[in-house]
Amino acid sequence: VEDADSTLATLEQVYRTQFKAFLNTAMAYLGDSEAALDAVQEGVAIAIRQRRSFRGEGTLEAWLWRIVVNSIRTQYRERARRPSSVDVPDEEVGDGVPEPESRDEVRAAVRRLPERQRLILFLRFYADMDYATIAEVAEVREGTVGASLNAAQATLRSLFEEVRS
Amino acid sequence: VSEQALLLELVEPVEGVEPDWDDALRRAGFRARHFPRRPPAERPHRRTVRRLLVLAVLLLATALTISALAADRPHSVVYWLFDRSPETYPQLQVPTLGRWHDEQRAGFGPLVKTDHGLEPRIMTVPVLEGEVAGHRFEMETFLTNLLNPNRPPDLVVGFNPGGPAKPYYGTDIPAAAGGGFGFPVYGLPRAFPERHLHWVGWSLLVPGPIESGGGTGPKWLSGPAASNVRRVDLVSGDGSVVSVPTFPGPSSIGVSVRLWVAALRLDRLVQTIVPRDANGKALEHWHLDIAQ
Repeated sequence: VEDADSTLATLEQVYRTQFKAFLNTAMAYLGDSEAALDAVQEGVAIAIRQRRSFRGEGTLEAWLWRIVVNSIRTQYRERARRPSSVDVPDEEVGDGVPEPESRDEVRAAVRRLPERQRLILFLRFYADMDYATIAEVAEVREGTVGASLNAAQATLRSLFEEVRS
Repeated sequence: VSEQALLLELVEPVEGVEPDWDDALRRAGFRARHFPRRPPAERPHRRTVRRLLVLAVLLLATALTISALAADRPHSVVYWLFDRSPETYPQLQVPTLGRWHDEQRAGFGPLVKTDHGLEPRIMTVPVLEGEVAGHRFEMETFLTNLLNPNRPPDLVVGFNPGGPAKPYYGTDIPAAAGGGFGFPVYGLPRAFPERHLHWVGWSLLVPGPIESGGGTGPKWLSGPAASNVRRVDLVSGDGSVVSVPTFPGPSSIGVSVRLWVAALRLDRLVQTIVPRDANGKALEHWHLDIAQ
């Protein structure tokens, strides 16, 4: 009982320090700032409600990340189930100026990555996490993180080569 | 173009979006004082009509209530407040508590004369944050003879709905909570001797304005308890009971005191306080002259 409120205070600290990284990751997933913010806030709200279930196994930061990432993925899947909105985020990003074709290709390639690879890639690049933290958040082994990153980067590298040529 | 740069370019920077902890709390179901639920805007004339109706109902109900209660208890004054919120509160209220720790609070007693003029008094006191029935609060518990310098130290129990207060004017230190002192409780230090001691003390706090249509609550009852009190039952006039467990006060003050707190609807009028020991035995039935 006594720990629940200190958990709440720590949650707030973690939330404030990780907010930009949360938002970047959500943006990478959803491509829409409003949806990204909503997913992050919903995730944090879930963590607040479930804070008593945090047993101190691992860090509170990783625990919060897991919940926020789940919230982002849930929102991504919900949006994907709505046919009209699947591609909207990417098209709406920006200020109406046509995107360079190469970026569209990269986006499309990233979207085609298996979900776990995509998540690990985002956590690495947009949340600047080390392998151990990514493993904790994505609930995979550390070796899987490296392997997934290598696979994702290999896929993307071949695309980049095409873009450059 | 590096792979990393290309990937980073895929995410448009989100400008001007800052962390909003209050929003997260609201989504999580917190409804503390500083997270007011705002009713949807209504057209002015509808609002006026509604207010007039509420006022009429309020006047009628007040007259009837006071008449009825006055007939029943001619020497008692009864506060009667309407609660216009749909919120209900659990009958068993187990608080979620942080840990007692020392923090500075500002604004105790009268202002202090200094070379720079009058300044607020700042003290380091034990504080505790908690939540009960979905509402946050902060308590301060300490001994001081600040209020009665010629008397022995008295126990002060400060209470602040919604958690720590905003900084006291002119400082960056949270304002001291409002609260009570001079509780006539067995085993607790008190500046003034009392004829009748009790097993608990209580303070009533109704935060925010009470408008003509009533408020939205909660109102708070809280206070100290003797060290053997483990539960406090708050019995209303209709016989319904809200039970709250007691919890330990700060050990740093050197006094074995327990505390309790309850969040109640405005229209729940507590008439009897029943402190109970670890076996559930009622230590007293304290009938209040003024229903709280």
